[in-house]
Amino acid sequence: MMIGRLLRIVWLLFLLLLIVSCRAPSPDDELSGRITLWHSWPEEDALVLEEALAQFEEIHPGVSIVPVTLPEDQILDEYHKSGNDGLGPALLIGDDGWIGELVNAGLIRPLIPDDNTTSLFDSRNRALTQNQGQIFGVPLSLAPNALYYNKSVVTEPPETLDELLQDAEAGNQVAFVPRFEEAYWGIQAFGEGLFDDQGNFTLAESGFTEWLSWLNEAQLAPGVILNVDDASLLDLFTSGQVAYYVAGPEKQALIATGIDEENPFEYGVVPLPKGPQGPAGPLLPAETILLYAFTSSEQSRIADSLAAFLDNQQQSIRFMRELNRVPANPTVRVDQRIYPIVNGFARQASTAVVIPNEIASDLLVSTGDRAYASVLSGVLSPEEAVCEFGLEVAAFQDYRAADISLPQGCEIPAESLTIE
Amino acid sequence: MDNDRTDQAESVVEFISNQIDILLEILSRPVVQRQILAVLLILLITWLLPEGVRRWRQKRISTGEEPKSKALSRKQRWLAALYYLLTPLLALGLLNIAIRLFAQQGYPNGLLADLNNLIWIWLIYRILLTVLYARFGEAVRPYRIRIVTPIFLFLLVLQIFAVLPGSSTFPDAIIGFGSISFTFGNLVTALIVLYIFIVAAWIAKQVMIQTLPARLNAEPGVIESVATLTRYALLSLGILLSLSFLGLNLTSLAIVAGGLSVGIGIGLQDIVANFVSGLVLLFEQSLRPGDVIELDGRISEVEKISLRATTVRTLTNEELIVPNNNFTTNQVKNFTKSERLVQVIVPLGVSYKSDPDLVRQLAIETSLLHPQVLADPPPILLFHGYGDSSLDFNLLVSTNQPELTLKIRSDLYYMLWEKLAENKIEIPFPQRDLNLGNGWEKLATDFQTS
Repeated sequence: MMIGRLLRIVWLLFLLLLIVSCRAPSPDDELSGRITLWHSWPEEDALVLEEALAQFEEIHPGVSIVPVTLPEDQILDEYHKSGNDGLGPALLIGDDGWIGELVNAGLIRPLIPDDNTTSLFDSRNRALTQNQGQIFGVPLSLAPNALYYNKSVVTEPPETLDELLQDAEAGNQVAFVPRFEEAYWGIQAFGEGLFDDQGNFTLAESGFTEWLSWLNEAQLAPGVILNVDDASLLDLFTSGQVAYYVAGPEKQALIATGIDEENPFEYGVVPLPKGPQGPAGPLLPAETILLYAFTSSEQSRIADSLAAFLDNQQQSIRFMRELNRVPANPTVRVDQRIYPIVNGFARQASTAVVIPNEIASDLLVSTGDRAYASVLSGVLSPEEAVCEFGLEVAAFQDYRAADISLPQGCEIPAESLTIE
Repeated sequence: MDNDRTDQAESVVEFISNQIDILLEILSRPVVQRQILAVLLILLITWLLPEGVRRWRQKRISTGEEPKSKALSRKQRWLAALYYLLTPLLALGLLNIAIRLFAQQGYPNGLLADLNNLIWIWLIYRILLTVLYARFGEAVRPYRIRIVTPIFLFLLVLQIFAVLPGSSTFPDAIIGFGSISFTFGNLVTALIVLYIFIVAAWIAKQVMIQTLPARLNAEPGVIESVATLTRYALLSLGILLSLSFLGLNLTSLAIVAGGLSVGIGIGLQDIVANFVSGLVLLFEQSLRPGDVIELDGRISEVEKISLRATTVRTLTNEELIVPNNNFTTNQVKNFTKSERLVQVIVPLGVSYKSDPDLVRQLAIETSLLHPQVLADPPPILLFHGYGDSSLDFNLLVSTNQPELTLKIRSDLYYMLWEKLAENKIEIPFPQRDLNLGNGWEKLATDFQTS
């Protein structure tokens, strides 16, 4: 009897909620409805984001946006879980590296650029968000690694790797993490990158072998500190013990708060030093607004509009001015005199490298890390490490010999070729 | 402080408003509506079908096709068990069909999969209850209410929480009351610990009450007292552990308790005194349930000793709730402290013409006829003295029902009256011999003269 009564109550409750929620879209073009936005911004940054959201709500009085902050290390798992239930947020601010995984899971939908968003997608932003020929999401801010330097000891930062080594030998020590993501930047300085313009994996012309050789020699040079413990390198920089430190814009807050009060100094940011073949090309992570696949049509309209709004010139400048974020919007001019730090990162972003979203980036990074570690610990020569790296990437990406170009003398074994 | 409270109230209102917004946003999605409709359909079928079976059986019983009897046959018991499991089994089957259909259509079916987990929990719960009832019968009922059902309800709530968007962050959510703050996860852990101790205390008491009397040959009152004390000790430990899980420092709690004790000493003096007296009574065993006592001149039987007060029942069947302090600070006559044996004294006077030996014989024989008078120790008749008008005796009888002493004495008066009358032994009323000496002659002369 009790269960029957309970069922009746459940029925009524759900029907009531369904009736309430199944409102017909407004006849005119005015946006109306409510959406949720997930992010993992720190508290101070989130306040600025909420100001922008409030402005959007002011422009569209019928819209209600609920921002939800989730821990950085949990947000993707939570998105997967809720997304599969149909309960995901209409918008997710996350890493562009998640696009491939979320497209495969069917949890994000493509964005069809319209009048509001076309200007946001230059070739770099297209590369950042493209997957299987479609654009998924809107890049919000860029986070390439660049060269932090201590202005109290460095007056003219080095422009080339040779100058960097000379300066290090002269006493201005340099510190960076010798792993794939953090130390990718030298590959392009010694040759081509790992991917050509069409996104094909190519090692034959890349500067990977030469870069690993340079690193192997540099680690023995005086004044060069290579350590995978990034926190201790940060401490060395903020305490004034090293003059140069390679990191992304997300480290600004830690550096600002970590600088020794007894030995204060100002810091600057410039692009990483060039190599013999050209400018340094660090990886280009981008904070991206991703669109949930299973929203209602009205929610999709609001989500698209809000994504474009958050990435427009005014909001990009707001985030740059108040949060030192590097705008991904190509129409925003970053003045060196007003925003010198952001300008350093923005200049670096212009030569940074985008890894295609179709690549399994986790596997690529872990394989790359092994190559760096093998060379720097003397287990493999740079040539051997690069060949092994190429073969492993070919294996997990299921590349055939025709799809990739490996260095001379390094070939995919015949038995491992995919048979179609 | 007021601003803090206003801010907290505003943040709570904002949180609730946000959750309602999220819920409405989610419910307006076709993918969610499809899943909810599927769930409602499944619930409807799983409710209607067993209901149909039940009505069909009732009809068969009413038409006589199926025998109606209280004692179920083996087959009927199996059918009843199957009927009990029918609803979750049916829901599970239909849900899995729906999940496959959704997958085939490319629709998200995560909510249905989550519901599937809930139904599994429900099914396991019902299977467990079926087995337990089949094995132990109605004796399972208190264990089901206190242990099995709460555990399964907790698992259900846990599953439902896991479905909510962003639920993995709930354990770290901060809950604050003034200067005290703890995480939601800590609150849940503290409640679980408290629940475990409440159940453990209850089980410990049950086990002690059921097993100790047979093993220790102890009186029920003592076992009850020890079990109550154990229960309170476990509950106290549970509360302290729960508080520690909430991040409250037990050392600082001790300091606070020290400060409070001063206030308690002044404000709650009587309550604390009674509480401590209750502990003394439990430890000292000077009073136990079942004891017959004399309190303020009234004979009463102790029914229950709680930590604050003791319940006694008087001979006139009144229940008195007496603060424990009365038993530790006042003199209390306990008829049954070491044994239940009490003596009843019945005063008796017979005429000087009576044979004292015959009186003794009759009195003892008569008293032994009373059902509450014990033969061992035997009744005795003590010659008390030569009274003004009677030979005075005291009849001493023993009984192990001290609460009946008044009744026994009254009964014996009646019985002795009849017995002595049968044997022509007189119970005299007071007589006076007036002796005036020489004054008598003077009085006669004065009378004649006048």
